[in-house]
This record gives sequence, structure tokens and C-alpha cells, in this order.
Amino acid sequence: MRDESRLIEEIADGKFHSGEVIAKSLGISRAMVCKRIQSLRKNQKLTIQSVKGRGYRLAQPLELLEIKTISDALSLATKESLDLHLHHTIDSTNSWLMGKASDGFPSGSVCIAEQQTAGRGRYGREWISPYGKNIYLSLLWRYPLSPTEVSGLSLAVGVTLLRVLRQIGLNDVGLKWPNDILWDGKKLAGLLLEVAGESCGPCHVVIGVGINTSIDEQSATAIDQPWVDLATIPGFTPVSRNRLVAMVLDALLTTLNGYQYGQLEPYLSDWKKFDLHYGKKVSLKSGNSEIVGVHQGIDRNGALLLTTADGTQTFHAGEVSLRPA
Amino acid sequence: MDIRKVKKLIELIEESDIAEIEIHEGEESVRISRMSAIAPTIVAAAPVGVAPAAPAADEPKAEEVISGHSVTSPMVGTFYRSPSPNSKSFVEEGQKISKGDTLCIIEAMKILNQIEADRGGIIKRILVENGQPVEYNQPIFIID
Repeated sequence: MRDESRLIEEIADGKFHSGEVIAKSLGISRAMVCKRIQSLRKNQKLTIQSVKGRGYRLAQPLELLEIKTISDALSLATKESLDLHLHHTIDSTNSWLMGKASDGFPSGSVCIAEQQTAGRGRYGREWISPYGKNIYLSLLWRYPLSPTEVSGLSLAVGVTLLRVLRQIGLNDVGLKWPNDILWDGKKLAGLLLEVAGESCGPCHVVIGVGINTSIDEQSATAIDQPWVDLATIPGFTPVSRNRLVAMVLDALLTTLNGYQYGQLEPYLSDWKKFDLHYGKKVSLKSGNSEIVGVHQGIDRNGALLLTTADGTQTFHAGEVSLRPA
Repeated sequence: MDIRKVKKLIELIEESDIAEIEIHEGEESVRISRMSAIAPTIVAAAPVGVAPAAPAADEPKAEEVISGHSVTSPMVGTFYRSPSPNSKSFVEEGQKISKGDTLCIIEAMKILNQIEADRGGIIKRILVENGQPVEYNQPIFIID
């Protein structure tokens, strides 16, 4: 695995690199280089050309994630509070960190990966996570609070991520309850929180962030909902993945630190401002049931408010989708 | 109904494994239920006599008489028995568990909350179906 990640680093620039030079640099045989290239084609689905006499090259250059580059872009306070773990490939950054949380990893542990082989979205949904594209990161935080008391974080981190995306110049992004980030009705970024702990506290939460920066056609066929990536949004200047990771971490840390003492209030006005469905007719699907009503935003705890024939009710679970008026 | 007959029925039930019995005689009926610690066994009610069987409308209340420690939902959400649809359930009925073991996931506001056992024991009953909504404080497991 280590050989593979170092090999990608060698060829990430998209230029030709001879097998001999790579072999020397990695301290392995040329036959082994050939084997590792095949493995990268198969497992990381990378298009690597090989031309006799010239060597290997990636069909498209990749900006790989680097701990140092990310660290250098972090604010000083964040840098001191975080412990970054970067993986070449992993099943799921959330699963890895939830496991490590049980082993005692502290607040501020971060898992970032170039690829997830079992990336997850909301229960039972897959998060498509091709290699070297997009952002897959998870952050662990511990609270003296009960699992119920941290539920507002779900919306707070949604607003936090939205603010970062607006900061890099995406003005047309909005929120879908509870924390999906959409552009032109299509999913651009998503969050998945996992909480474990004792019913009266303490508890720990892992916040998983997925941002589509660039999804290839092949991976896209597996996505079961309308999606968009940063690379295809017109008029948007691409941003470095390393820098974006640092910005997300800086912003998340501020939110997580503040949440220890506060509630959802500091996020309610932005939530209302960027709520894509306020006043619209939506359906809320949960298990086998479906409720249709008019979206009335959220209450102060982050629960969804829907007005149906029975009046206005609050909801805590379910998938919102827009209904034709 | 003759009180001696009722007494006889109680004795009869005590000697058997039957948790509950309902007898109809003309317009009269009597139902005898064991409120003991024995897990109730669902017994198909054999019609006795000629009277039409009364609808067993209050049967589902059975779970309320199960003894043991009940684990309640700490929040409103959706109940899931496994980490993902294709994976094994965290626990099954009859399984021995320890304090701190994950019993289920309750999803609320896109947070997957892992619910841990607050004591060890045997999972006696799982009271909610996978994927169903749960209310705050609703009993979801019985541990004995």
C-alpha cells in the first residue's frame, strides 16, 4: 500500500516517468513497479499510460493531498488542536475514526483519504469516492453533553460548510434539510454525523464531510441522485484541494469549539437565509411513510417544520424532496 | 362463571406452560394471564365452546408485561438494527451482551446515533422493526 501511494506521488504531475527512475526512487524492482502500476489501474481506477522507452504517465495530473501543505494552510489555533491522519485508501473515513474514538483518540483527530472503498451517506446510501478527486474527511470531537444535546450540530456544521463554499466564490449554493448542500438543485456536498456515548453524556461525534470537486463520468454512473462538482460549475475558479481541506477544518473547529457552550442560535439566521425549500411544497419520506406539506423552515432545535392538513408539525427524520407546486 | 371453575383453570395454567388463556361460555368470558417473569409464549387461542371468539384487540399489550430492563429511545428518529442494510444486525434476541455494546442506530437529523447498552445481560426482546420511526422514551429493547 505504501509503495502504491509513493508511486502515485512520483507520477502525479501527469508527465512521463521511466520505470527505472521510479524503481530506484522507491527502492523496488522494475517488475514490482509494473505490478504496482497494474494494482493502481485496478484498485484506484486510475488511467495510467505506459509507452515503451518513455515510461508511465497519469492521463490526468492529480493534486494529491499532503499533510504539510494542509497544515501550512491552517490557522495557528487549528493547527495546534488537530491531529491529521492521511490515508491513500480507506473503507470509510467515518468508520475509521469511530473505531479510533473507541480506542481513545482525542478531540481534533482528523481522517482524510484520497479514496474511500465503502464511503457512506445517510443510512444505507453509498458516497461515491473515486481516488484523488473530491474531499473525504472526518473529524472527531468529544463533548461532556448527551447524544441528544449535540443533535443541533448537524445543522450547525451544514451552515459552516455552506459558509466555506460561499467564501471560495460559490454564491448560488443553498441548504436542504437537515444539511445537504445543493447547487442548482443538485448535490455538491454532504455531511454525515455519527454519535456514540452514554445517554447522559459524555459522548463523541464524528463529522464526515464529502465535497464533490471533480467526479469522472465512470464514477458518476453510480450516483443515485442529481449531483454536481466544483469543476463543472460555470464561472467558478477551481480551488486547491489541500487549501479547501484546510478551510473546512478551520471553519469546523470554530463551530465545534463554540458548540460546547452554545446552541443553534448563531446559525439560525443563515439557515433561514440559505434554506432552498422555505415556503415550498415538499415531501418527507421516512421508512415507508411519506408526508406532503409546506416547508416552514426549522425550529430552534433544528427540527423540520411542515404544515399539513393537520397543522404545523415538527419532524426529526426523513428525506426531503421538492414536489411540483 | 363459577368461581370454583376459575380456580380450577388457574391451577391448570400453573401446571402448564400456557401464559394466557381466554374462555368463553355463553355471554360470559374469563381471561387468565400469568404476570410472571416467564417470557410470554404466543399461543393460538383454541376456541372453547360455541361462542364466537372475541377479537383479541388488546393482545399487543403483551410487551408491557415483559419483565426485565427496558432500553428506551433517547430521541425521536428512525430505528436501524444494523450499521448498513447489507450487514449483520448489532444484536439478536437471546444474545448475551455487555454494558457499552452497540444495540442499534437511531437516525435523527442525519446523525447516526449508536445506542449503547446501559447494562449487560441477555436481549430478551427487540420491540421495534428495522426502519421504523421511534418516539422519545419508547422502549426498544428488553434486557434481562
